[in-house]
Amino acid sequence: MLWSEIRESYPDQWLVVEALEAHTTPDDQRHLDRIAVVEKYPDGSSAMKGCRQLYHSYPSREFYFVHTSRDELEIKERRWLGIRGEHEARAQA
Amino acid sequence: MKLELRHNLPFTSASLSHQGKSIDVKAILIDTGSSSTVMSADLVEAIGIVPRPDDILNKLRGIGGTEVVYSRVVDRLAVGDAYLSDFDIEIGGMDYGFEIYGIIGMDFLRRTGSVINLKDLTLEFMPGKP
Repeated sequence: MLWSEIRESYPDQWLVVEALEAHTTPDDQRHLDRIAVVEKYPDGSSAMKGCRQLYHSYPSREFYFVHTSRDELEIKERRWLGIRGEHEARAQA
Repeated sequence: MKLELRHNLPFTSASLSHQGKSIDVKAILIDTGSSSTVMSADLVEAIGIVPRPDDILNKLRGIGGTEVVYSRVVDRLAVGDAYLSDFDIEIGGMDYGFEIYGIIGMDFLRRTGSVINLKDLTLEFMPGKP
C-alpha cells in the first residue's frame, strides 16, 4: 500500500509497518514506496517495542513504528559503524 | 569523570533530566565513532520519554544490520561536571546483546570540550568554545 492509503484505512493509529520497497535519496531521506501494515498498537511505546521484537525475529526486513496522523513519513538514514567490543560483547551478541 | 573498560571499550555514567524528572544512566559508551548521542528507550520511558506521533525517525544503517530510533530534545544531559541543555538525543532499543544503556557521541564530546584520557581512564572537560 501507499502511505496515503494506509492513513485512510487506519486513521489516528499507531502501527508497525514493513517497507516492501524503499529507496534513499542523495540527501539521506528514506522513502517508503510500498508499505505493508504489520500490527496496530495502542501507544507509541508499545509500537516501538513491537517493532524491536519484529526486527529481532526478522533482521533482514525493514520495520518502522509510525503514527497515521502524519501527512508524510519522515525518515532520515544515517550510517553508523556499530560497536565492536572484545570477547564478551561478541560472545553474547 | 572515571572511565571503566568493559569488553575493552570505555564506559561511563550520565544523568538525564527532562520535564522535572531525572534518571541516572550507567553503562554508557564513549564513542567517537558515533556522530550522535543515543539513549535506551526502555530506560528513558521511566522519566516519561516515549515516541510521539510527530517524531522524526532515524534509520541507522551499519555493519550487522539497522536500527530505527526517534529523536527528542531533552532538558539536560550531564556527564560528570559537563552538561548540555536542550540537547538533541536519539532514543533506540539498543538491543546489542550486552549491557549498554547509552552512547555519548561526537556531538556531546565536541560541545563539552571532552578530553578522553585512555592512559589514566578519565574523561575531562576543557572550558571554552571548541
